[in-house]
Amino acid sequence: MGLLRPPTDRIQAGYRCLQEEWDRTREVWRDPVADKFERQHYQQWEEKIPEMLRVMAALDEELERVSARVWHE
Amino acid sequence: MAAELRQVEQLLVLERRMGSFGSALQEHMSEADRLLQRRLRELEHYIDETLSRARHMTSESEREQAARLRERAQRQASELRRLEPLIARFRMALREAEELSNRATPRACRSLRETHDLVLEYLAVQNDVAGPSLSDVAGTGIVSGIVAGKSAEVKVGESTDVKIGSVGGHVGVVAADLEIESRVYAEAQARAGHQLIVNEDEFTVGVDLEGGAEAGISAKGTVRTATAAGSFLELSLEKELVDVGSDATLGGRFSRNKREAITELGLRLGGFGLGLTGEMRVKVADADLGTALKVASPLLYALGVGELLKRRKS
Repeated sequence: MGLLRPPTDRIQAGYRCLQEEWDRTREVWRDPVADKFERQHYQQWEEKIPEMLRVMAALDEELERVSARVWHE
Repeated sequence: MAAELRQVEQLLVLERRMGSFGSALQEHMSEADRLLQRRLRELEHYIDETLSRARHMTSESEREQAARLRERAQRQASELRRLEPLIARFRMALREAEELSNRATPRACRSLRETHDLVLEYLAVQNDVAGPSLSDVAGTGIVSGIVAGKSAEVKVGESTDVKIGSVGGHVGVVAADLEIESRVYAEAQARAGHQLIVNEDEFTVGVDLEGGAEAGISAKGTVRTATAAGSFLELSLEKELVDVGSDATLGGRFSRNKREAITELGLRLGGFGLGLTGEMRVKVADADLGTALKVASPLLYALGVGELLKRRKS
């Protein structure tokens, strides 16, 4: 398991819960105010968190690979 | 009525979920940063040891072995440098997490709370005719009620909150974490967006300006302003920090590190499409500070012009 995997997994799990809660909210909150909230506040989570998770996963993988090469050479 | 109540309850649940994820995000990213720094130190130490061993091989018979060790250390250092682009992207992610946790999350939660209050207000008006109501959000430990235009909310769970307010004026009193930390604070928020938040060791006075802009000052000497377009300026006496930016993509940071007696100037640029961002940080000795500030001033000017252009567009 990669060094950064635990915090990455925790962010992933928290984000999934937030997405589920947002979906539940959208079921009962369907009006222009909800649309505006989605555009102004929620969308940035959708844009930024997956990218953060991708960066962390890529860094984790490369860090493990580099560490193995440095230590085992 | 039942549909609106369900909506009010769900907004509260979402507000809590968003708030807790906002704080947890920064916490987990900081943990990842600590782990990364530790690993990098370990790897650098390992390479230094290899070089040190080579330096101690001074005799003629050890010359070849010393050369091999130096070559190995060079290859290891080169491997380590391959991480730099990913580390730079991680640093940007770290900053974005900080932005999400410290600015975007409170803004979103406040917006949810305002919507919640507006729906409650509507229900209160209905309720004057229809009679008192009480709702319990199953599984969340939140109980809220409205009687003749007054609202009360009790939340029992990770922390205990008691909130009593007049929904019409958005004026309320909050007592939080009564059982767990004995930390009691009061919060008053006027309908116009003025806020007074008193915590155990500090207070914050804030005001929401028109269209989502905000300004605030805390007792610890932090002044923060933000425009609706996302530009912000933060001055912290405690941290000796000036942070100015436009969203998370264009900005500069000026901070002093007391321990090392150095000043750090940061510049970040981004938003060129495809989510590309870049960050440059320069550490300068105090003697070079004047020059460094001259270098930073065009950035501040550019930010000002950028903000004006945004306003014209909107």
